[in-house]
Amino acid sequence: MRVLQVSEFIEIVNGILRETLSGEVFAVEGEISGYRVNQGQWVTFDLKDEKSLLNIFMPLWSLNVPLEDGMRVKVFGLPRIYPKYGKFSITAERVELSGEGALKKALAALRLKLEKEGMFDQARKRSLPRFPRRIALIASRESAAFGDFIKILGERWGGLEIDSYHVLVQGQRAPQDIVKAIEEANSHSSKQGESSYYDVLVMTRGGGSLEELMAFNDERVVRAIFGSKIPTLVAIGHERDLTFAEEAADVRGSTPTDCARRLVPDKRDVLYELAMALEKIEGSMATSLEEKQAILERAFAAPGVWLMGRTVELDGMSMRVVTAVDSWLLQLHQNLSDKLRLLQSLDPRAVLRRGYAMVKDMAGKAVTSAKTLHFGDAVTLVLQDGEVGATIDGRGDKFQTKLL
Amino acid sequence: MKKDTKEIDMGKGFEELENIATWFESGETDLDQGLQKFERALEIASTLKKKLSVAENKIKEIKKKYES
Repeated sequence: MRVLQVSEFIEIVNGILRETLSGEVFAVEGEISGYRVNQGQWVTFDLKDEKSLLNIFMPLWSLNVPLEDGMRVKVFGLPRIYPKYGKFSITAERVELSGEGALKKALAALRLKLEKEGMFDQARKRSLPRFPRRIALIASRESAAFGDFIKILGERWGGLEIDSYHVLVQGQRAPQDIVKAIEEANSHSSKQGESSYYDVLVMTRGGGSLEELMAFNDERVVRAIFGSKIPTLVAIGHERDLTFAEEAADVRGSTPTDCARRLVPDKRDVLYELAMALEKIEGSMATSLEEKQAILERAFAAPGVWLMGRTVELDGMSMRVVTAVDSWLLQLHQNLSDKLRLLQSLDPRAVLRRGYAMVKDMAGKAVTSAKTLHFGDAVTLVLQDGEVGATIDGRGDKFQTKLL
Repeated sequence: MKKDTKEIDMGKGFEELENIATWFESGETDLDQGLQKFERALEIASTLKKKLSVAENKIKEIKKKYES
């Protein structure tokens, strides 16, 4: 019989377990219960089936899917007894979700969590510069996406400085690779002294299955994109694939090709725009010049125009005075002849011409009453063609009547 | 006459002409006054005309000086 110390015994058991199990790849599948994160870095949970239970232990950094109680998972790792507490557990290297449904459920949980933290917040999205000069490109150099992106970029725009950060875009190591590349690009950018050494950080990958795209749903990748000081443009998979990485990015491209289109304008569009702008400027310059010319011309002509106006006014006024004087004189003449006509009609000689005579006394005054005449008075008879002297020789009714 | 040219102000000259025209049109009968006024009117008109023609020449001169 051998008597073994506790440590020795555990050492032997762990050795046997290691030797027996490390030769082949295996995973233990079961349902999670009692999921906990301790001290922000250690994950523990129980893996159960209907009859049995296993303790699982793993560091948080190697966990790449969000877990919660009730999920079915495959745990990869080696079992051992933890010497200090004598507890048997599997130290997990990685955990995979079992089945499509589980993955979707896990993604939904992660989405909720990231959303709550504001990772997808529209309000914090930055806009990309219209004409970027330097970009950091995170992609797999061997991928078709890389080639497409570079090709479209060349067709649309030239003269870009592109620093390519080669990464794995699927598999277990991909998230770490991508996070490292994002961090490197950011630190390189800030080391240059310019905060905007890179104008845009571009990340792209072609289409694939949900599992193949999982690196871009990885929480670490999403956080790295969220934390990037360089504005981000992310395009993963096809139009219908929407990863968290894209949602966290400042701008999302639907495909690698679309990504290139969003990064740079088409030079033909820009040239056209430039031509239009130039035309507009020329047009408004010409209009402005014409307006100024017209103002100048008017100013130049103004004294002449004013003078012309005054001359016309003066001519008019002179004409008015002359006309007024003419008609005034005519009016005076008219008045005069009216008066003359009146006088003519009153002329007593006109009566004499009809056969009447006028009697004047010695003083030459007209005698208008028989009563003023007396016998023997000398009078003068005025006839139409001259005067004769006469003496009054009688006074009587007949005479009187005749005179009247 | 030259003195008059300076004395008669453009605006006042026009005003006076206007008044004289109105005087005649209103049917006044004082012949002597009328003759006086008519002469005054012609004097003003001719003075203003001269002024205008001087100004016109001056304008032409200035224009010529600055036209290029």
